[in-house]
Amino acid sequence: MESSSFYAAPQATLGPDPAAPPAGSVPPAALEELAASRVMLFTVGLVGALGCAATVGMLAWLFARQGDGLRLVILVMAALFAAPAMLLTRVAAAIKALTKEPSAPQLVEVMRRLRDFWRLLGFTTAAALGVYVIVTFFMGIFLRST
Amino acid sequence: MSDSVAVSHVVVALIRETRGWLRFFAVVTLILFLWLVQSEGPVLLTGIFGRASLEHALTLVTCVTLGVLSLLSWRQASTTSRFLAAPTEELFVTVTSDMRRFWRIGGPLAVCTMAATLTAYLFHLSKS
Repeated sequence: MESSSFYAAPQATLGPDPAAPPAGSVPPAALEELAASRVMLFTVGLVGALGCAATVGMLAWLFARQGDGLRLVILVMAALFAAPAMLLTRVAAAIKALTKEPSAPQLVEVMRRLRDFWRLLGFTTAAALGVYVIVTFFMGIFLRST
Repeated sequence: MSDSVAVSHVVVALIRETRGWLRFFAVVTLILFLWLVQSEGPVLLTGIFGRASLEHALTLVTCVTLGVLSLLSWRQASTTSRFLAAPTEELFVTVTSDMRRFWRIGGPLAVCTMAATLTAYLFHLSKS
């Protein structure tokens, strides 16, 4: 049967589109953008974790010398924020692995770690705000009673 | 949706979850920014027009950081919404591009604020 006949039914090309990227590949432009943000992600994560560690150390030393409720609260908050900072360095590590070996599962890993970072940051912020509100409330009661 | 496996349903689902947390972060930073402007407004004005002390500088830096982070995260959430409405590779690249912008601008600001807060605290300790 002749397929080029004028009266033949039209046929769709069922094979893969030659212009499309190979299955499982990561868009090169997206890979470029992710690679460009990796250094900053790592820097912010590292500085954040070190800053939190320094604050916790300093406040723990001060708290040991002279117990103070406010110092304890700031100490807890600084310790809380160290976790998201550490997660940020893990996102940077996942991006590094993606740039070395671009694949769909690796991209999913990057996105998963990013989601984990934002989720933990959200929980941490909510917890810090909760602690702040509770401390302000009890300090108000304490100041009113004295 | 694009034929590429890269922008898969798993990626779309993860980005959808991330968008919710991004919005939460944007709203919280906006509230903190507004609260800081409202409560520390006179201090900020003195810092800008008068003699700026370390406290003024710290309040200003924190205020700017909160405002910028709120704006950038809201923008990132909006781009993510556009991607989720029509998940194409092109929009996925836009999402990653917005993410890069967020970290390129917000990253140094966050680092500066952290450094300024620590410095101010150390300065306060050395004086007391």
